[in-house]
Amino acid sequence: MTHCQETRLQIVTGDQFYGKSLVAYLDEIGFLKPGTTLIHGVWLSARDIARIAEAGVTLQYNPWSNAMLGAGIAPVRACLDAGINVSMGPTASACRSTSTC
Amino acid sequence: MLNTLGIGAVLPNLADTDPARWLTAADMFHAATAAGAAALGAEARLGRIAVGMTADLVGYRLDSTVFTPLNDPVRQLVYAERGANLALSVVDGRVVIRDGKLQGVDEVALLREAQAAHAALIGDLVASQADTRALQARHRGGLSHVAQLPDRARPSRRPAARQQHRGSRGGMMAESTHRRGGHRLTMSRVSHAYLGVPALSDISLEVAPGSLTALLGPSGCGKTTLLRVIAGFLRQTAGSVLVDGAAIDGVPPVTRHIGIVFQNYALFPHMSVARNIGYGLRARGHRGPHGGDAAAGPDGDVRRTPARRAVGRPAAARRAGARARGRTEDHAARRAVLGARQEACASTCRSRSRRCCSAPA
Repeated sequence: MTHCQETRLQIVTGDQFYGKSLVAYLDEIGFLKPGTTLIHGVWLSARDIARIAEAGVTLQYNPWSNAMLGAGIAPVRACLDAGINVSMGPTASACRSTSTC
Repeated sequence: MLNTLGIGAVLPNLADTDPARWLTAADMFHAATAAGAAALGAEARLGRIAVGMTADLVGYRLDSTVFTPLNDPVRQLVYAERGANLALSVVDGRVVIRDGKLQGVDEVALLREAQAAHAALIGDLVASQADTRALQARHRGGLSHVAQLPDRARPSRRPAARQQHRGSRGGMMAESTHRRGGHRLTMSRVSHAYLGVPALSDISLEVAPGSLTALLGPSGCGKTTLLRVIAGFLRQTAGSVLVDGAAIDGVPPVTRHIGIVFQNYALFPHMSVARNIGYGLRARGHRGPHGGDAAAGPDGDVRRTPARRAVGRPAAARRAGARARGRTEDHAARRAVLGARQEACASTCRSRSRRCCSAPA
C-alpha cells in the first residue's frame, strides 16, 4: 500500500526521476500486484489506469483529502469502467481541524 | 467516513459533464464496504452482512428527518446522514454507542478534561500565532523596507529619471541593493562526509561583499558539496557557514536567500520560461509595481514584475523543456539570481557561469 500520484508535482517527480509515471515505475519493479493498494491516484493517465487494472491493484479513493488539499479529482468512473477495485479511504488532510488551519 | 462518502459521491460531478458517468451513492457505499474488504483480501469474511460474515454494525434512527420517508437508505445515508442520527454501534460484538452516547466512557468527564487541556494550551497557541505574525511582518516588511531605500545606497551613475524608474521596481530594487551592497560570506573550518566518506575537509574561506569568487577543481573534489552546504541543502558534518558574521547553519534553505545554479539546471519542466525565472519572486509573495500579485498570475506575471528585465523580451510562452541547451543554462542562472537576496555568487557551471553574477543587469 502506498500513496501514488496524488498531486501534479508527483507526475513531474516521476518524469524527472524515472522518465515515466510512478505507476509505470512501480509496475516495472514488480510492486503492482493483487493485494497492492495505491492511495489517491488523482493524476492517472489512461495507460496508468490500464496498468492498474491489469495488475489487479486496488485504488483507494480519498475525496475529502483531495478536495481539502486541492490535489484534484480522481478519475473514479474511468477506474470502475476499467474494472479496478476502488475502495474508500477516510484519509483526512494533515490540517483537518478548521480551528488550526 | 460519512463526510468522505458524501463528498466522494459528488466531487467527480465537477469534472464530468455527462451525468450518466457520475458516481452514485451505491458506488460509494460499495467502495466503503465490499471494495475495502477486497483490498484487504478479506472479501470472504468482510464487507457484507450475511450469515458467517464478520461485521461491525451501525444503526441509525429511521424516525429522523434524514430517513423519513425511507425511500433509498443508501442514498439517504451517503448524501444526507452525517452522524447526528447514529443510534447504535457494535464493534467486535461490543456495544460502543447506544442512543447516541458512547458506552464505557464518561463522555462528560472526557470533554471536561479536553476543555482543561485546551485552557492550558491556549496561551502557547496564542503566543505562537503572535510569533508567526511577527515573522511574517518582518519577512514582508524587510523586503519592502529595502525596496523603498533611495539610490543613495549605491553610487549614482544613472540619470535621475532612470533611477526613479528602477526604484519603482519594488523587489528588484531590493535585489540590486543587496547585490551591490553585498554580504560577507565566511566558511569556518567546514567539513562534510557522505556516510563517512569525506568530501570536504576543514575548508575555511572568506568571500568579500560584492566580489566574484570561482571554485576550481577536478570532478569530485567537493565544489558542489560546498555550494550545497552554503545554500543549506546539506548540513555540514563540522564547521560553520556565516553571512555577515552570523552563523546560518540552522537556517533552512528557503530562508537563506542564497541562489544556486544547479549543474543539471533543475528547471520545472511544467512551467514556462517566464514562470521558472519568476519562481523565486512568486515564492516570496512579491508584488509587481502595479499591485499585481506575482504569485498568482499566469505565464505573463513576470512581465508585471522587475523580472521583466531578466526575461529581456516576452519569450514567456515557451515551456522550459523546449529550449536549446544553452538557453536552459541561461534561464537556470537567471532564476537563481532572482530567487536570491543574499547571493553566494559561485557556480560550478562549466560555461557562461558569469551570468549567475552578472544577469540581470
